[in-house]
Amino acid sequence: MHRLRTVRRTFCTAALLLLAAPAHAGIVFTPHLSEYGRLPPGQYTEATLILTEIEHIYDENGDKIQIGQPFVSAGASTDASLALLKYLWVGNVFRDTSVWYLKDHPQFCRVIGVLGYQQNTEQVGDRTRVFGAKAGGNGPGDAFGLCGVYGDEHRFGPLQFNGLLATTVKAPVGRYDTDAVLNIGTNYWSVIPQFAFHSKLWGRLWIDGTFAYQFNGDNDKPSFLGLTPTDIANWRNYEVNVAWKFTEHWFFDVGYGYRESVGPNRYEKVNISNEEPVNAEDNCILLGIDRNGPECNSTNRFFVQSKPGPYEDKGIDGTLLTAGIYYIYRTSSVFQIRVAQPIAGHGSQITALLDVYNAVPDNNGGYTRGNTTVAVDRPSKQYGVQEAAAVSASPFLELRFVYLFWAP
Amino acid sequence: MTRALAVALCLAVAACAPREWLLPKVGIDPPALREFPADFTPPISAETNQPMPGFGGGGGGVQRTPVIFIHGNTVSARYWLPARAHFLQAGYTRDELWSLGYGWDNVRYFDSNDLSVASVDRIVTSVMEHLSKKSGRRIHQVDIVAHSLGVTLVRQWMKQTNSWHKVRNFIGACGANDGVWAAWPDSRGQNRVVSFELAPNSPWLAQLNRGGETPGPTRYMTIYDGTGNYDVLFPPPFEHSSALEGAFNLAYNVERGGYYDHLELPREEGPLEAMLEFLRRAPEPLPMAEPPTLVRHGDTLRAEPAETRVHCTAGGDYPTLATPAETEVTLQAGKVTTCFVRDPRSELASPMARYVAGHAAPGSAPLTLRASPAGGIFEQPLTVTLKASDPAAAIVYTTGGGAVDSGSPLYTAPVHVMGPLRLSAVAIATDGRRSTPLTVEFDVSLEKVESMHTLQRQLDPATRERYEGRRKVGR
Amino acid sequence: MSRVIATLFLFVTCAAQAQAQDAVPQFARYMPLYPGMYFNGGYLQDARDGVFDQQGIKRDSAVPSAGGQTAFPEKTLLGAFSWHFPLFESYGLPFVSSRTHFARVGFSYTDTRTDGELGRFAADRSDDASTEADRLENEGSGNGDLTLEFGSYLVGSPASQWRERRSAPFAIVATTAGNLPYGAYNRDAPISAGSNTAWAQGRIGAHWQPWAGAFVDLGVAWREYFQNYDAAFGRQMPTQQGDDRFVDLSLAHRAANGLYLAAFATRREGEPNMYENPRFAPNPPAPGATTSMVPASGNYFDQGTSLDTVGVSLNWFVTQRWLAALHFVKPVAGQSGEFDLPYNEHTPAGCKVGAPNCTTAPAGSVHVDGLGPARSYSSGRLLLLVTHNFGLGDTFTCTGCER
Repeated sequence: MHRLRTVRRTFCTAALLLLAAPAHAGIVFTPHLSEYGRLPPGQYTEATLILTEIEHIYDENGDKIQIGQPFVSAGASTDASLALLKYLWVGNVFRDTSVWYLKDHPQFCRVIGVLGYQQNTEQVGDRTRVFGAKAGGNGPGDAFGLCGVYGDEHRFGPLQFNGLLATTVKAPVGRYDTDAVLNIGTNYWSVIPQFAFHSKLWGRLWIDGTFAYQFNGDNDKPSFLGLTPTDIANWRNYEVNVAWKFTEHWFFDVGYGYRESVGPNRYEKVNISNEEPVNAEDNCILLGIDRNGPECNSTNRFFVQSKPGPYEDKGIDGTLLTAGIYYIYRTSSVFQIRVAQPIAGHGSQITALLDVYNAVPDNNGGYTRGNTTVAVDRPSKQYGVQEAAAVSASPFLELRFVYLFWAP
Repeated sequence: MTRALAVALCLAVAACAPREWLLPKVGIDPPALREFPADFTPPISAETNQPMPGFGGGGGGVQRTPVIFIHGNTVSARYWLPARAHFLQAGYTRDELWSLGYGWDNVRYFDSNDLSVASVDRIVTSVMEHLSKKSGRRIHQVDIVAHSLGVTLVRQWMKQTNSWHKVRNFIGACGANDGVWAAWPDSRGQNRVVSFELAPNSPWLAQLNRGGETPGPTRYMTIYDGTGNYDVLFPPPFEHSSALEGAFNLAYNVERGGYYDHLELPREEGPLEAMLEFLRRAPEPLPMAEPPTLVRHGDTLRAEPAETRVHCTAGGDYPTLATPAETEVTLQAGKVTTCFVRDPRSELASPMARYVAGHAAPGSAPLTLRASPAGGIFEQPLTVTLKASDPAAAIVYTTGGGAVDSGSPLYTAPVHVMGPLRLSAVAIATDGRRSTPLTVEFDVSLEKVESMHTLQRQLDPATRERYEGRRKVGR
Repeated sequence: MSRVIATLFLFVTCAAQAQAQDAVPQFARYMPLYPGMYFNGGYLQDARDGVFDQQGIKRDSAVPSAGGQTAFPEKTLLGAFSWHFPLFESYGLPFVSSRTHFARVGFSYTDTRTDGELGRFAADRSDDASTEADRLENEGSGNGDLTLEFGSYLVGSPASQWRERRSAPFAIVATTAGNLPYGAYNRDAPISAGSNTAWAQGRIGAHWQPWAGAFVDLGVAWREYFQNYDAAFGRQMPTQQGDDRFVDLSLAHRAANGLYLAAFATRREGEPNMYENPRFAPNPPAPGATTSMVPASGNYFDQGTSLDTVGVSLNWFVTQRWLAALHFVKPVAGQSGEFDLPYNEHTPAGCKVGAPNCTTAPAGSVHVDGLGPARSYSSGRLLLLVTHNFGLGDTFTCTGCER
């Protein structure tokens, strides 16, 4: 039970990271008002605060699951917060030169730094101790760098639009602990080419959308018992945001985002191995072993050891709706508050094979794993965890502040 | 990994640094648009102290009144390349189309009206002199097409330097003639000056528009959105801020069914064609005549040569093309009369001039003029009061940096000084006597602000202030 | 979710005292400054090798109950950006438009470790196999938490005067603050750079210049802590920290042009801290030959904490924009959190409660020192602080330039 709670909790936290990842990317995902419009050349700074309390996640069948239920008492959650610090430069390095195309198409670059807090509530935190895992992960996240070029601006009557091409690189410099259930860093590189567009209709309706394909590198050091994928599937991302301008100061927007993995995630280093023995009932519930099996019809204690894999999930996907309001203060500051609500998704699950061993007293107050195999290759349904595998079903809140130092 | 990231970060920072700052550090001239004939020396920018970039010349001769395009804030002459292409297609020659870049071409350094008047003066002067030399005949007039900040900037230049007679047609696109919502009277920071100037109902705009919005012999056209939707700078209730009383005002998106925004409008085919239509209404080819002059005989004003006509108003407002043309005008005692002369055949005109009729009392003291405050360095915009020793005298002044003449703005209310500028003034008595020209320097300076409010001075106001009025030179 | 939103509200609308500011009560800290951006950076060093125990007695170990001597030496780099600004100045909004405000964000990096007896306990892999005490660590260094603060000047900084104001002889400021626990936090280490605990704070500060060159600043603050879901070192760190009350007073006077001397005093009083289900102690009762000792589950409380400090500082304007200050802080009295942790004796050794043939019996209790915020250190701390004003929030001072 301990582990199951842990696993699910981890899953939930991973779901947070899933949500956080778009926020990380900033210009790549969950576009904001005029995110892809040709902004005036200059420098833009931005701070975003994301808060969430994850109580539900999606399983591989798309069902919404309350975190930890029925193994953790109700009310448990994963609380998390991310601060994204962004710097955007827009300009044209090739202006007034003869460099083809670039001479009259501005470029932009963005760097994003991340700080984060992720913590399970104490019920889950306590359980993670049994398995030698750390329940939280605070500190700096991965670094994102992005550069791109704007396309031409076109107009068809009241419709004006432009496109852009960009590529984001995620460098895995964030705090990452292989023993942790939750990590702010991801421990794998990503390269994310992206096409995006911005359009305005009647000068009032502002639409921003993007398609991004995320190439993910491998994570050779998976965390939390190997339940983060080692071979992370690439992702496809589709996002669109529609904003209405009420006045020069007030905007309202709604957004839609869909992310899906391209093929399955692979888990090649699963190492489910409890440090302390669990009793039979917990063991069977936790591991999804047939309750009528011989190992469950026992009052003894057991150790388990998984086969490392490889295992594959069915891939993941998630759909998100957002709604927010903006206030423009003078011309230098933007205040935004946005709520995002997942509406559908599929999370990562794998069927790991477990060997179940008896527990032998070690004569020092504890137990060691015995040599007797109670069961071999027992299939056990496990949840993949963290941002590459989990899909949150809980809303998050985003507060954003954009400041232009140069604006009067 | 760390080293690679550090290198990447350095490269990113280098790429993002302003190349106008970065490249000279490594001995490279920053790329700039410089499409000028070899014998044309671009004027020095009053802001950057560097030769202005831009385009102009290149052959074809000068048959029409040359067109000078004046760009808006934070951009440069390249903004007008689409307009040049359109004008070339319409039959203009390269020699007839000019644009030079004043200002900083960078959002970190917003340009302002008052601070760029000198640059516009240099642009017009250099183009006219070059074309005069090239064509072998004196070029007395140009047409000016301006956009955004360029609109109020050119209007301020014409007013402060008494240069209406140099501008045959003026087309102002998307200008903030009655203010713009994005400018705030309480702005702070580097770019505050233009914000002070163009805030709706600002005293600076009141000064600009005082005496009439379309003075002199110039034809005026404005072209702008008008819907309040497409030009983000002019939402309701500012959708007609760009219009000028007395001008041909074309709210293009309203009247012609367009959808163009602030940056698009003066560069799209439809609006450009509307501009050409307006320019074609003025007789061409380029007039060969010399401009007329205004002569005073006692209390009578006449134009020379005799076929030309005088346009005068009494009371301080400027005469316009709509002001009835007369062969001679009698000055009214006690009133300021403002006039220009225009030749209806060539459409050339004289500079604006003012006259004060009447007789001074015998033995009157020498005419003097003083300003309060009499120049200095200030943190914030200020109001300057001018006072002549003879209350009946008229006072004219200019903040354009050049010499004041009778056609300079008439002082009727305290002058609002928004930025660093030189104010010159002269009092003109009813008997024609003039005071010694008064010139005072005002430095409304962010550097002053910065030096006044250092952390140490906030704790100890008696700490010596470091700023002594020596402004930094840009770039 | 409501908790999150409430926290969020505090984070956004309120402010936290930036760490560089909280490390010492810098003189003139409540003075309204000219609108613009300011930076504080500092280096703090503290041996943290002694505490005031629950009875207020000065002890020469940071964790006396661990036996021997323990220290948590700390070296911290502090940073904070502050902005002073009018807000909606021309809108005529009640309260908001009529005064200046400020916002601050604070950050840090801390290098810390556990030296001495507790460090040896953490490093001992064989001390208690039935608990997690054999997986303890000693590394808690890393980035610190992020603090946010927002304040409004109730008195002394009207928006109508900020442009020309040369001094502010009297001012009162109200601030709200919050802590985002983004700091590195090692659940298995006795000390960490981050707190893993969000908090919200309200503060009232008063600034007075009785005569030119004299500065009196007085502040009182209330801080409420959210729960630490993963209290460190076997939950010997409080799970629920008691509310804190702070008072700070600084007196400063100009000694020479650009040179200021300051003296200050602070007081912190904390409500009792709660320790939820501690999992071990560094001083467990000795087990029998066939038994093991396991802490009894339950919530335990200390008697609250407090710390009084005094200090002096030398402040020197290197330039008009750069102020360098050297602070020395000396704790003079205090009270650390301690509690009695009951133990049960399990027979046979290592057996689990509920397992067949496993019996438990009370085995007395041990006195345990609360860790983390429950410690009130008696060691002096040294802080080198620099303050810089950027002025008007931009770095480009060339408006118009040549005429």
